[in-house]
Amino acid sequence: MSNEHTVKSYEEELQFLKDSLIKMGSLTESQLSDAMDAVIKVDKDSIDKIIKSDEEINKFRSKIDTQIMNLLVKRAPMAIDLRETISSLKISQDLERIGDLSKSNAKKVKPLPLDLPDELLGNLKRLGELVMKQLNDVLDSYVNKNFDKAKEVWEKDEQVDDLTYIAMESVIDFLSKDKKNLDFSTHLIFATKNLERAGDHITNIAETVCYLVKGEYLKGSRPKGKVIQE
Amino acid sequence: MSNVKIKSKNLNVYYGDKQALFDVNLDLNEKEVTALIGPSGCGKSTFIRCINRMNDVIDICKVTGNIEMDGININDKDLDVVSLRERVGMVFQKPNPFPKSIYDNISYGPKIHGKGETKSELDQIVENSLKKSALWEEVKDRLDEPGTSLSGGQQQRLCIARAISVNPEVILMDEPCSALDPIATAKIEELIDELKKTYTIVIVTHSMAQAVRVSQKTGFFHLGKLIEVGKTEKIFKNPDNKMTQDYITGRFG
Amino acid sequence: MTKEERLKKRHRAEKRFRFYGLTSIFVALLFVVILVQNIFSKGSSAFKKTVITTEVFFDQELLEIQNGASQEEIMEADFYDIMIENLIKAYPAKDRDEEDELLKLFSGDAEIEIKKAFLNDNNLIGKTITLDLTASDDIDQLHKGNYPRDLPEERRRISDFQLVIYDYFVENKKISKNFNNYFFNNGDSRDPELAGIGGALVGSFYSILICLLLAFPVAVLASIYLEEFAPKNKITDFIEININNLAAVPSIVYGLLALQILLATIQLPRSTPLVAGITLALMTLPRIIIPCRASLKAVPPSIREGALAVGASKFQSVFHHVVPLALPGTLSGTIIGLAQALGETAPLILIGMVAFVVDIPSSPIDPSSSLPVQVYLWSESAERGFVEKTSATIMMLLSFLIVMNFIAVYLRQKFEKRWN
Repeated sequence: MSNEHTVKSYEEELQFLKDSLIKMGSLTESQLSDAMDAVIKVDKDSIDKIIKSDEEINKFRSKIDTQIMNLLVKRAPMAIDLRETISSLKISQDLERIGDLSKSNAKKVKPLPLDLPDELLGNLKRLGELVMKQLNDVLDSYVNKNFDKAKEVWEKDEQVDDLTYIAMESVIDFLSKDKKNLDFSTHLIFATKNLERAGDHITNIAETVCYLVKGEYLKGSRPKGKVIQE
Repeated sequence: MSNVKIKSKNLNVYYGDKQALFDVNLDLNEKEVTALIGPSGCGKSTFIRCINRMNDVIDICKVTGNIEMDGININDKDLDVVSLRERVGMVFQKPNPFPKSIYDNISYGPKIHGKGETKSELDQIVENSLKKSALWEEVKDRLDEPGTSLSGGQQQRLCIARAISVNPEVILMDEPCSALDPIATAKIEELIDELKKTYTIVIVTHSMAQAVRVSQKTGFFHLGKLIEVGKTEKIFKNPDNKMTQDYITGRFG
Repeated sequence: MTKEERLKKRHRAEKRFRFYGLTSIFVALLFVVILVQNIFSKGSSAFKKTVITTEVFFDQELLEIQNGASQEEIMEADFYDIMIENLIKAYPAKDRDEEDELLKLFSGDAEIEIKKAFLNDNNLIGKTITLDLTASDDIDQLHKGNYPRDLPEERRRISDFQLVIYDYFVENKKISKNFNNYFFNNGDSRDPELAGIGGALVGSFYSILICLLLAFPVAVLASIYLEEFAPKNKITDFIEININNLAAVPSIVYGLLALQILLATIQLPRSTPLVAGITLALMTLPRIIIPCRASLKAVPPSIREGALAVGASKFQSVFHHVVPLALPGTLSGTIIGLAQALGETAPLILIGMVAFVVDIPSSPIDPSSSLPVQVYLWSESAERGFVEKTSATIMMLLSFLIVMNFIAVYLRQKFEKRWN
């Protein structure tokens, strides 16, 4: 009784799926980080690079989708293999959305002025760093099939919500000080919101990883922090 | 739906010196389909053959332990196996209709059990059995033709009709679809879905997909032991035992 | 060797093999043809008998009975004088010796044949009718061309005078061949022209019937018991070995067995179909058991399981399902066994069927002969007339065997079709 599939190609197909997902995850991480950098440093040159790498992420998404279809048709996967396959589907969706959100943030850099106050950028930076850490942790938990770590990420979404609230407030504050700022402030608002949304997708990934490992869905609703009334 | 129809406790089976089943404790629920899966030679067929005492025909086979149906001990030496088999029918892996007409195939059982005295009673039984096994429309005009003139899938449905004709409570199926093409298989699976409303069904199968489709409860056997038993959904989505998972995902070396 | 060379070699080997096969078949068929032709040519003439067309006048003065006499009266009346009177007139004979020679041209049953004519129509007194009277064996053989005419008279069975009469008859178309009903209706006889297989036929029929009635049920039931119900242990193994050995025992041993037990100890009547039937039954028993068991073994276990699963008892599953399927093979085996029994000679000789039995047996306890024994007896006789009869009997025997084998094949196919 070994731990590998009797049919080697099955084993290889599953492994390929996992590897693709991990690569996609790394790309998304870089994407997120680059976009954050671009916003904080108001670096308009890196926008094209980021848009290009988003295409890469999308390519991975299709590759993974095709692979999943193949697995389902060929192998009729059961138990853990089934969970692995379906989880890959969901995680790749969430990663792609995170990539899109990062791209969107990068685009918002263009109209930003170069002299934004530190405090404003600081809140944003803290939010960004938390989100990046979340992504890193959740991808780790996927690779290591670590239930506890994934659950932590899931629970930490509360913090993301809180930091979003703070960042949002400082932008609104800034906006209200000078009507000139209205234009790019809206961009900043959207950028902040995008980071929160990225955090939600990361929470989705965490839920998926928990289901993958334990075979049961997490009980209870996800913890929510302060929310700006929209 | 969750009444226990058949219960086995510490069931052991020996073929001469070789032990084939080790302390099997398995409950089979009424009007439900229970699937038994496991690699070849793991004892699933041996187990179901205990339920209708078909192991009696093998001289060197010895059965110890308890197996009960509705409180009656099936292993009792004094039990009338003929009446037991009237209550527990069996369908085999390879369709084995009698070399008689379709009509006679079905009417044989009721006749020897005294269930149909007049011709019209027998006609009714034959028609009902064939209707219940979804074969009536195809053969109603040729009941006099030999049972062996039907296709493989039809023959198996004929065997199912034959099993039903004596009005059993339990139907045992030993890999009933393994000799059939996919269309015939689908028809039989559909039939099992219908039949479970009336009969308790135990099906031994090598096809995991079939076990998932057809059963509500699944037992996994390995080398004569019952490794895990539980709701089909759980077994195939998230089994407790690693051996079970390895088997159903194809990781058995 | 290259692939092509290997292929060629294989093809040549296959061609050679086919050639050998066809040659063997051809040679075998050739032998069959030669055998059949030999027997046919010798035997076909037995189905015809030579008759001499004679005028018979029923002179009242030579008969004690009147017209309109009853059958019993006619049977008891003496027709000898009528016979002599009329036969002498068939050709002018100058003295008593020549008269005797003339009379010898007719068969010994001439008187009875004339009587039979009167039995058919009891108003023939004063009338003349034309009868085809059976010729004697010598005339019969002469007419069939089996006696050479160019030998000196002392070495011939027919005298010169008789030859003259014969030629006269031939010229005047008084001699012809009719269908030989005596061959089928009469029992054995010292006179070849009168000898028939009637007795042997009935004797064989009774023997085989008794053989069948005794052997078939016992053999089939024994097979069913041994195959389906008996426990598999050393005793049943022992029985099986012995049954197989019995089939190989020389048939004459069964004759000895019958002689000692049936005739000497139990004192059943000798030379009867009853004893023959019992002896043949003992011999045929293993020959039915072996194919019957093989047929039972050949029934797939899935049939038995199917029957048991539906709630049949072991007895029901065997007799309702297994036995009908084993029937074609059993029947084939039985008929072939009976066909073999039909041709058995040695044991029947031992139980005394070599006796000369003239009457046709009317029951199985009347003494009789049997077809193969009849062949044996006639083959030992000196008269030329028996040669054709022996061959004709062999032809009859072979036809029965062929018919029985055809029945076996037909029955087998019919049953197999029904159940498949």
